[in-house]
Amino acid sequence: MTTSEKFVKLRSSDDKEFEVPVKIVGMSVTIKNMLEDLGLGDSDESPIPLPNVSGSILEKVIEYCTEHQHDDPQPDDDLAHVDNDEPEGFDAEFVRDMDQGTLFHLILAANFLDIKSLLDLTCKHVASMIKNKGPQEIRDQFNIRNDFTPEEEERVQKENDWTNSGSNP
Amino acid sequence: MAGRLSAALAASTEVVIGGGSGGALLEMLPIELWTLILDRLPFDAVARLSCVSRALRVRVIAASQQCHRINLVGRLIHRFPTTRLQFLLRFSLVRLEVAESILPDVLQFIAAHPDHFHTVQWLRIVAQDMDNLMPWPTRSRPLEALAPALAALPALEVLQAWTRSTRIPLSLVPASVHHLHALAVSAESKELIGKHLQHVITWLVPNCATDDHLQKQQDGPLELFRCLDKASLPATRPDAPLIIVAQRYAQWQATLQKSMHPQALRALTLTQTFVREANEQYKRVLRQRDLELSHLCGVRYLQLDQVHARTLYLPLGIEWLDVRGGDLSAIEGEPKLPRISRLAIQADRLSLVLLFLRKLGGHVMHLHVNLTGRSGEPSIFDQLLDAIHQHCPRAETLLLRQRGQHLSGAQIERLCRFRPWASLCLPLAPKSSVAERRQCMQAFQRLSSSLVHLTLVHLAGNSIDLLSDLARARHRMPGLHRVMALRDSNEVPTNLRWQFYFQRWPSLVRLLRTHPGQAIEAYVTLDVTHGGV
Repeated sequence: MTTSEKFVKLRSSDDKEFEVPVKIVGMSVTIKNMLEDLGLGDSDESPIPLPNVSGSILEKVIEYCTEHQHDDPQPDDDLAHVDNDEPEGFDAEFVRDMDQGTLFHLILAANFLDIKSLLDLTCKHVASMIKNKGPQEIRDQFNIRNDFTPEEEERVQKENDWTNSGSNP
Repeated sequence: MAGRLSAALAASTEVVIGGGSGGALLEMLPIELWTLILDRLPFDAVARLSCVSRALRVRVIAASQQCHRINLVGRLIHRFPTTRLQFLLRFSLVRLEVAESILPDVLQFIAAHPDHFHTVQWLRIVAQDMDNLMPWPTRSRPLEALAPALAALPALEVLQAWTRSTRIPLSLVPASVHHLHALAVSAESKELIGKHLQHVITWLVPNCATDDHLQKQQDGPLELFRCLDKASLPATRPDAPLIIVAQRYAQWQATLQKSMHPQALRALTLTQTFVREANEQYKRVLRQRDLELSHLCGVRYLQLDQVHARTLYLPLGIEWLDVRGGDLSAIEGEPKLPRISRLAIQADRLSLVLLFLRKLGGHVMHLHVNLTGRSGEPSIFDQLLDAIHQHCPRAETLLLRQRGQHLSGAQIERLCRFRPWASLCLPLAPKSSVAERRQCMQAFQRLSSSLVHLTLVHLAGNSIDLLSDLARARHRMPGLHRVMALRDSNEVPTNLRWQFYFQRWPSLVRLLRTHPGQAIEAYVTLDVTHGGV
């Protein structure tokens, strides 16, 4: 039985290269499918280009996948899997102090690379940042400009007045 | 390979990842990702999100049209006009979660739009606050209210009703349902319960839960379990975890003994849902009977909710006992008492807690005590701490709560002298003095080599400074992985709680920022965890 681990090289959009064990990149369904479809020879040292993911984001993705490489694969049946539990341990630490730019790029990267658990984690984190906040608080949180005209704003607020009943200020 | 991969990868997405500020990015997230976020938001949050900006509104509305799930629980626990539910028509819902308090509105709406909900596969009804449950009108006529709505959900596969007062008429549940998880079902559907059980049921209440039906339902559970016997549940699914939530244990325990294989039962929950409403006389009757469960040798987890009995005979195999309310005079086992490693007790009087600690504390490693009575006696914690010290020598995790009461600095110091605790959850005095906080800190530092988790309850007022103290002393407590701060949501008005939250949050943020990279976590949460240890 061989114990040698296979590695692949990944190249980010800003030409940074990362050598990563196949087992870890295999968490990305996109890359896994590519490797299976196109074949990965032992002697093939060409890096896999990821033109849509920057080096810093790819580094975060690899960090996440390395931590979760031994996890059981998530079932495709997301109906049974969805939960709103707070993340714990590494996951909580991973997203907690993340700046919003990194967070959103990570969502896009997780979606592009098809890493379901990372996508779940990051979307859940964005949802937790939105939950229990009013429109102005959401604007403040995400630095969003209110581009409604006064008339539009009055109309949408009236339409959604009911969300304030029984809720907190 | 790189060239082919490059082309293939570039073709696989149109999303360009990079650039932009947080706000711009939030507004520019692709619609399919917005659906993932909306899936995780309560209904009112989705609506509020659509008021933030024009660009966001467009995305939310577009994403909501593709959304598969919607959560109607959130903070919106009051009734709201049915007209607002028009929002639901934007969704092709697969999964629907509804607070019991607004269930009548939602059911009416579903019934009025039968063509819009044919995709719903999963319906969960949740009572947000079991203690302050707002009864809904269909309690007295559940069939009429539920029938049209359930008929409008032809694809329903999973039905969960975490409620005490909503009776689910199984005779009207679509045949497509194979997973029923109900705390209350109507008694007239016993035959159908058997039919459903041939698939999977995890929870079951064999009866309705109103006083009016008390006399009529004397034999209900017996008939039900004959029905279960016919359905041969253990033979069909010998490995299925079956948690039975029942009301009349004294009547059906004999049936359990006869008709089910004890070894098939892993987890058992006995809930007497009506006892809270029943009169004292009936409780006295219950207290004169013994609860014999020692034949259920396969049970590992046993939960007793509002169970009243003279003597409780425990199965030998249980490892986790969770007692919530009720009244018991004695605990026995056959041939001996089980070695319980996790014990959770919620009681309104100390004597019941002491009974359990004295009898079962010897092997307990995780202990959760929640005293719900308002005795106000300062000595109550002293007695409790003495009992824990004396009867639970192996306990390393302690979760301690008492409604409206707190531990003094001296009591915390004394507790920490007992042994090297690994995890503590303690109620603090909101107006603690500097001296008292210092006393607490010295106590926690005494556990520096063992303490991993620390949860501080009632964190408010001056006691919030304890978080800063903990952060400063971080280097002296290298094993402390998590500090959690809990507010008791029952104690402050909603608005005040939120003011508190927003006023206090910056100090927590500063605290985190002044200690970057350290493995200390500080939360303020508005929820109270009532679960096990």
